[in-house]
Amino acid sequence: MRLLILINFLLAALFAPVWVLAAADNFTLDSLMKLLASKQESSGKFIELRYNSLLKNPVRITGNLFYKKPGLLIKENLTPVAETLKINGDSIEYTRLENGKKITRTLAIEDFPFLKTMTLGLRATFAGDLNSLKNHYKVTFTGNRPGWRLVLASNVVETDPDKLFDNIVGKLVISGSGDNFKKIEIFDQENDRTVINISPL
Amino acid sequence: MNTAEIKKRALIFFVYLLAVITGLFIVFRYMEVSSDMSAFLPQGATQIQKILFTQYRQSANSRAVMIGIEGNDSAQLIRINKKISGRLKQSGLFSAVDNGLSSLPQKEASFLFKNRFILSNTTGPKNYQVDSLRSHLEQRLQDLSSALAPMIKKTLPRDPAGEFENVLTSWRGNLEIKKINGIYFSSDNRRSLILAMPGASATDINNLQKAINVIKTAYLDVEHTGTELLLSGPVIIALSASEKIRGDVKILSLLATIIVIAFLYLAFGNSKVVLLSAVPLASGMLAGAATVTFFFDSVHGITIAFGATLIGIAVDYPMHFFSHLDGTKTPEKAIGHIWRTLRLSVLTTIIGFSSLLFSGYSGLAQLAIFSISGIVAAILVTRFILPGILAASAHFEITTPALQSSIKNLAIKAGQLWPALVLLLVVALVIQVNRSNIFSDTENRIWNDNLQALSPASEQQLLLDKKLRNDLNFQYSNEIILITGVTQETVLQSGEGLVKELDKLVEQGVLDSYEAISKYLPSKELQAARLAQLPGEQVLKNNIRKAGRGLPFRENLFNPFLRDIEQAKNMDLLSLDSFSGTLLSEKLAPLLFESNGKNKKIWVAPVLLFELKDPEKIKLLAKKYSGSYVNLALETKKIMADYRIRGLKVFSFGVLAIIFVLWLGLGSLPMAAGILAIPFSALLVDSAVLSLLGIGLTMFHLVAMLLVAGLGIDYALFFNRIRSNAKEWDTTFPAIWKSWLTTVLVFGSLMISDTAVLKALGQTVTLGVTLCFLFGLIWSRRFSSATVSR
Repeated sequence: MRLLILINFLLAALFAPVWVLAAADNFTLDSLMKLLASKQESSGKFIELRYNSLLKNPVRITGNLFYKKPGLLIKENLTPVAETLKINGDSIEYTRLENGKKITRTLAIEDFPFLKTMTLGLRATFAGDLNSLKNHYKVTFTGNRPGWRLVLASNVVETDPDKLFDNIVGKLVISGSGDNFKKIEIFDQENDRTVINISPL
Repeated sequence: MNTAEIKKRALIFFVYLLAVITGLFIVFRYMEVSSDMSAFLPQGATQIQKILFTQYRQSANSRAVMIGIEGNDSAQLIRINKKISGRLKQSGLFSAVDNGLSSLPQKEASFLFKNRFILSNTTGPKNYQVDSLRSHLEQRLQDLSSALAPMIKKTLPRDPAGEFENVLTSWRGNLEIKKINGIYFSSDNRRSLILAMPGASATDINNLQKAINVIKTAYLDVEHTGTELLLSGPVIIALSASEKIRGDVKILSLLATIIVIAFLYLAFGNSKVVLLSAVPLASGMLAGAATVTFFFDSVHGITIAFGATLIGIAVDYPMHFFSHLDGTKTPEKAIGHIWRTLRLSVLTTIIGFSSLLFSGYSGLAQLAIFSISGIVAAILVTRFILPGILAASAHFEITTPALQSSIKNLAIKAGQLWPALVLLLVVALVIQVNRSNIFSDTENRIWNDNLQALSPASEQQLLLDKKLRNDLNFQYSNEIILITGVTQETVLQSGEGLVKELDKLVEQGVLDSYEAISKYLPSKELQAARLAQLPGEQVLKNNIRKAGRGLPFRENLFNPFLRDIEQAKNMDLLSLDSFSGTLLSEKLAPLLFESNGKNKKIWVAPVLLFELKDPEKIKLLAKKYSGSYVNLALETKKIMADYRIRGLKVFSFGVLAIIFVLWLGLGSLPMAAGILAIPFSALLVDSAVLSLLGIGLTMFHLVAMLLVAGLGIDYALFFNRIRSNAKEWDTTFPAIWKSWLTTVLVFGSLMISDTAVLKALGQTVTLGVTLCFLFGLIWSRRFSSATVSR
């Protein structure tokens, strides 16, 4: 009995610095959001791996990412196929080479539920807009300032399993350090995964 | 008055009362007012014309509502647009609402996906060879690395050769419209746009009106400061025009009623006269409405409006009667005195109006029955009821205002004006005969055979229509090729041949583009050929495997594709009916339909041609594929002209009948011709003046002229009495000028309206009756056989 108390005490003493540290850091979801909200723009290069149940190996894509407040998000793929996805507010501009010609198509975000849920999540995170984030996702925060991780589980549930033409985001996992994004993982509802690793330009 | 006479009068009153009650009962219990304009549109004489009108009524184009929200703040315009679109979709009154955002709904997309091998023009053996499959697979791999990968993930294993995408491309339209944030916009960013298709048919006015109201309230319910709602399309034009006409008629008829009451009071100095002169008119209206209700399913709004106009002649009858109450005769004697003349006038009017029965428009036939029964009732009331009422009342006197004698003095001198009359007539005749030299060569201006002229749209409205049409890239085609055949299949097969050659002509720039059923639905022959060309399972499996070599697709990934192709081989072929119940059928219905031929049904496929530069080439081509080239503008003009010619023929028979009746009634053929010459010359001058004013004549003018002719004969018959009997100057002449002035006051007020129809009626009648009056007066003085005391 006495021993147990001792061990408890020792354990408490052992972990005390962690508690103290954590209390000192006190880095919560709110503080992360405030931090992100204060950033005007950010950019980086990325390596994306798409694990797709249709394919034996993941597709590897490289390119650059750019974000500017309040709602501009540009993803520029350089390999294997050059294409640019520019999301500004509710409109998507999608440019790619088709038969050697650069074709730009304007898409309505409502027409593409997958892109819509993904975009809403990324944009709200980049902007540090917690309210908007909570509207669309169940938000779980772990970690601390040097290493945080956000799990965004989509509120939208696909009700029509036979739906032919789209597939919605199941989960977004975003991790970073301070106000830098390190990794974005996107899971569709069949658990196919896209991993985007971001590094400074 | 003896008891027998009193008994007789009581009996007549009783019968009249019974008739009024019956009439009121029929009208209030059974009358249904319809507003379907098609009864007044010609149905077409030839097969092609009939088809054109069927197509017009079926076509989504005749129902489409174009909505524009105009303003400076595009974010606000987008907001309003989305709210309105949402409300329209919720309302259930629209079969399609397209503001740019809507993609193909799930049900329709699934239908196309299921039938992709039948519908895609890339289906064929070439598409499934190793080389071709290899390039498809490489393309799919690229797709998987694109942002749109999630879109194709589910369909890829079933459609690696891209047939579905190919089908979608032809069904998607309107890719050229500018979009901001996915919403249709005008090129200057000033208007956000919606194209809405009401579910109601083009003739279901009530439900169309409901649908339009939903748009308006949706707009008013959102924050819309600084913006304007613009609406156009055939439905909007028709509805707003009829609304405007109704409003105008309400105000103008109120105005005219007040003026006429005031005038009648001034002219007769007796309030009883004012009241009583309305009795024949009101009885006539009731009789007209009741008769038409009895014979037809519904009474058209236009019948009531024009019928009321034509029955307006009945105002003259009590006028003639009252004027002969000079205190020397009993009412019974007074009406007896003019009865022969009045009877003749009524008879000729009835003959004139009955020509409408044979015009070929069911609407005009209804109008004829309405006005004839109205006139009959009005004259019977004037003859048998009014004298009784007056005889029963002890004190009845009409005062003769001072004005009357000065008008008489002026009128007696009118005979001297005959050279002016002759001159006027000669000028009018010269204009009529040489009209092709006087007016521009391109249009011989007497008749306006444009169907447009019958549609009472304002200039401003047509401009707005054009603007929104440009914005939405929504065009009317004026030129079409009609492919006809005994079965759906033969028509589709001809269409397929034609479309192949049209593609070449589009490349050569002979035309801009076209719309045809063959873009969407292949003939069964072609469908079967496509399915027969699908490869065997083993061959395809080998080809897929070879094509996929070195590519990262998973083993057996395309088994669903193999399975789909195997299933497709035994698929039911598609016909027009297969699409029913989907939105897709909206697009197909106007492009392929069955039409009633002379004794059998035929299938028709109109191919719409846009921006055609060389009709000659198309004519030859059309013949080759058992089709015929039709220019809609020319064809409708031709239809209108045919109807006019037919109408004139009927009218000229009417004229012959009137001469005969006049001859019998007056006992002299030259006199009958003289009487008829008055309205005839008046109309000659009337139409010449209208032409000089640049006004082309339409059906509305014809109706107006018919009224003028009726009134003209009436005036002439009574002028004829004055001619031979000077005493009549104090009784008959006041009646004529008073009824002329009444008519001018009523129809003159219509001239204030800026609605084309009402203005046309006003101008034609006012000018026409004035000419009739003047010609009659001058004629009666010039050929007078009696001296008049002052």
